Amino acid sequence: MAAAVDQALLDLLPQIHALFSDPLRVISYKWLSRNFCVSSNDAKRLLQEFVNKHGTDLQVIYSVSGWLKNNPQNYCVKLTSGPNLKVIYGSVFLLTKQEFKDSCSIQIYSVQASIPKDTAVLWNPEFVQAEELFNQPFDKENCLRDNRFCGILNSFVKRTSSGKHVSSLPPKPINSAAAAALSKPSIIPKEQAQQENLPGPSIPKEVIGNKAEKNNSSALVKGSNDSVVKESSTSDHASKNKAQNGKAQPGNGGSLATMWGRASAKPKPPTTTNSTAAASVAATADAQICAKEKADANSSDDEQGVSYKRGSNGANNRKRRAVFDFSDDEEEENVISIASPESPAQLAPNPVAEASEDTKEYQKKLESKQDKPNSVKDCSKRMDSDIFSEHNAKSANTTNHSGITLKEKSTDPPMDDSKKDQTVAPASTSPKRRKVLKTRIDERGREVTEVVWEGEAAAGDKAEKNVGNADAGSRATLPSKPQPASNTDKSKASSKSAAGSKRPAKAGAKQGNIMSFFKKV
Amino acid sequence: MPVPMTMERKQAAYTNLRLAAFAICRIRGTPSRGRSTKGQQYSHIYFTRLHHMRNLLHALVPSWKPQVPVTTVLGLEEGKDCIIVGTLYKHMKLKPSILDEYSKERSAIPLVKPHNFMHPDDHLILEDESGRVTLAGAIAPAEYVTGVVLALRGKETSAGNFLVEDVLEAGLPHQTSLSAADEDKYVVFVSGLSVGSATFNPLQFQFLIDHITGHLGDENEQSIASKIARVVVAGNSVHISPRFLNGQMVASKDQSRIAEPIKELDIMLTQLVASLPVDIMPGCHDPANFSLPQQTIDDLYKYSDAKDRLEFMERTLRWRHLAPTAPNSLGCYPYTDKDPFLIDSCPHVYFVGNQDKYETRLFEGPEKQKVRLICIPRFSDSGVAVMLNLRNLECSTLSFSTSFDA
Repeated sequence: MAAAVDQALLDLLPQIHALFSDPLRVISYKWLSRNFCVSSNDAKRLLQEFVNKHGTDLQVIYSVSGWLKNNPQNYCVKLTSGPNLKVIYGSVFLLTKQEFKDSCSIQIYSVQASIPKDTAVLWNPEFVQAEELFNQPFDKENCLRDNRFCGILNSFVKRTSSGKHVSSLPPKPINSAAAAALSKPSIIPKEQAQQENLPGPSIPKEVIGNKAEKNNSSALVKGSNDSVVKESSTSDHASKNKAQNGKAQPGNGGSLATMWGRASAKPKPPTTTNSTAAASVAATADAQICAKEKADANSSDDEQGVSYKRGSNGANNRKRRAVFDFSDDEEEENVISIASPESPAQLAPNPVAEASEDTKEYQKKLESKQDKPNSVKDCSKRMDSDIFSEHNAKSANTTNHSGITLKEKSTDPPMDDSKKDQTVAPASTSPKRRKVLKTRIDERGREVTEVVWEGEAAAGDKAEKNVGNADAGSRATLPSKPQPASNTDKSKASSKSAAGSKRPAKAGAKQGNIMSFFKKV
Repeated sequence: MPVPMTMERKQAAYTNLRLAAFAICRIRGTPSRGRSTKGQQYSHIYFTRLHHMRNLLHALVPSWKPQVPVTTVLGLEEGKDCIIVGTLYKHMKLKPSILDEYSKERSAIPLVKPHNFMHPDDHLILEDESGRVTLAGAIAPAEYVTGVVLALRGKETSAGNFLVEDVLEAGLPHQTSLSAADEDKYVVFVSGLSVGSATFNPLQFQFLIDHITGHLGDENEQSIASKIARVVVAGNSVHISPRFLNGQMVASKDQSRIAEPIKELDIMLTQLVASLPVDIMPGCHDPANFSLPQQTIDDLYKYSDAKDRLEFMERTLRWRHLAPTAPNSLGCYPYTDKDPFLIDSCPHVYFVGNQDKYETRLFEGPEKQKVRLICIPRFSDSGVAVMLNLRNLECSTLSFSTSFDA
């Protein structure tokens, strides 16, 4: 069992341990799954691992299920408490007389300080969680609505929000920007093609994104086209998505690997925040959860895969993640690039704004992801998007304009608004940081728009960004890709000095938020 | 590290075969045939039922009793062997009547509420458009209920009764061949969730959901769950306290309490529909339309006798009618142009929800029709859901217990 648990999962153990500072706490595998954004199967493994290490003074409840001996047509699921079981080398055995035929399934269900008299206690925390997810706006995707953490994929389960069919390709189905991007399908392929052609590596931030994009570009192009052309045939999407995922993986490998490395390495620092987050804070908690998910490959996989498939496989998940990110990038990029290459000086306000929004959101997501979990960039887009969107909505209402300042070129007012809103969200999550949208015209006369984080880490970021911009300018297509690049950049940055500086700051900010939340609670 | 297996949920094609069968064909502002619903009587249902069933039975008579003439109730002659076709009416002494309640002070019949309204003195009456005649002989009143259409062979006695010698029921309709799945796929039936009732155990329901959606259990269990292609929620999903249903205005603070069970069900079903298709059927306690009777078998249990619930179900198939006691003792919409409860083709699976216990049987008809009969127990009482294998129509159960082993 122990070997089966990812390091990323094991890193969550201290957080779980911290949760039990509350003697009334009941942690079921599903609660754990939702709280840390890991698949429920992983959550069970994690919980078992936790029990193996720290479970001496805790009571464990197992779910036992199988075909009954005396009634072979009856599949029975029941609960058994720890004393009836024995754990030997991580495997659990039933001590009581076997009423089940053949082998039965014995899986950990929950861990608590004492066996509750009323089993509703086991269910309550889960239901509170479910209710919070349920009460989110109808167009939000979350793990309740797409069942992303289960062990069974359904290729027909698509994420549909507010009547929009969410194709697997667009990571942010909810975003209007994505839709807008889709509205101009003809342009997209060109841009992508351009992006593909780009040499890439010279720019620090964007480089990574570009590489990934390049690798994926062919897949992405297909994907984007598909999404644009036929959203109706989900099955097609699914298959295509799969294909894309497969393609994306090899290309992404480098950047992803770095991300994974981070994920495993980083999760520990956020643990404190996570543990606090475990208290189940709606908005901020979600964001952190997403981050955590990022840290956990499995969880992230599920999230991303949710729209079409929910896989517990880490590999699949990773692939999916990568694809999604790219797709997101593509969309965003497409939007941006559309604005820049075709109409260099004059940008169509809407597309630009949307693009900027998308990019910002994306970056925000990425940053937030990176910041919070730090580890994995991949955190499921949808989760992120959901969370972010939530944050955005909330933040937009409360704290506007804190985030983005436009420099050089003043884009159209609508853009500003959208940007502000989106920026607000990140600001809310990490108040100290701000996203700055920089727009300028490069030597070729193309408009380059970049989102830069300003704030504590701003110095490093700006430096990087500036360099990147210069490079980007030379390679007209860059602007379209900044988002993915930013993601990768961030991941890289985090690995590098700049990233390192950013993360702690963000983490601190988030922690502050969370703490405030807890105080309220 | 063992790579977690990625399971794909099995899919099953779905076609709604009776999309408009129960539709009430009225468009607002265009009263059908110039009449308004207000004065609509239930006689039309009986008329269309008799008309439809008589055509069926007349077609069967030549092969049943080729020599015996068919006549009407009015055309009966004493001592002459003949066949009559008509609708049964069951005269029941204990059948509650609104008039009895109205005059209960003076009523000699006790207003007790036994488990059903059977009485040894019950007798059957057959009627058609021309008249009605009391039945005697080889027809057991306990087996039949009001509203069934039959062909009877016999002769009129000197007392004016009809002495039945043979009974012809319409029998099972033709059954289309079933394109069975070539692999194990399951449909799960659950009924009587009764969210909000005192017996509702939320953890139990959560187990069901977690099992179906693939959260619970190990890989073996999840591979079983992945073969579940569909879930049918067969009635009585919520329980709303009857004190809110007394026709009085509901206080605003109570309105949220009424909605609570529905919201909870919503949250639970949200998890389910994220995983597979779900059908929700209304039950007699659900906040649903009264136009369609939801307790047909339960009503047969009140007005007739059988060895188990499955036998009631068999009878309705042989009678070719889902709800013969509607509209007599079951409420339904007063259809004027059709009787929507006639069974045109033989089903392959026939289930009834909210039963006391789980029962199932494979019912075979004379033309090799095979019907899987299922009584679905109330989940809130039993914690049992029924799993039907689409490949071979075999049934198994899922039972969920939340009590700890001793």
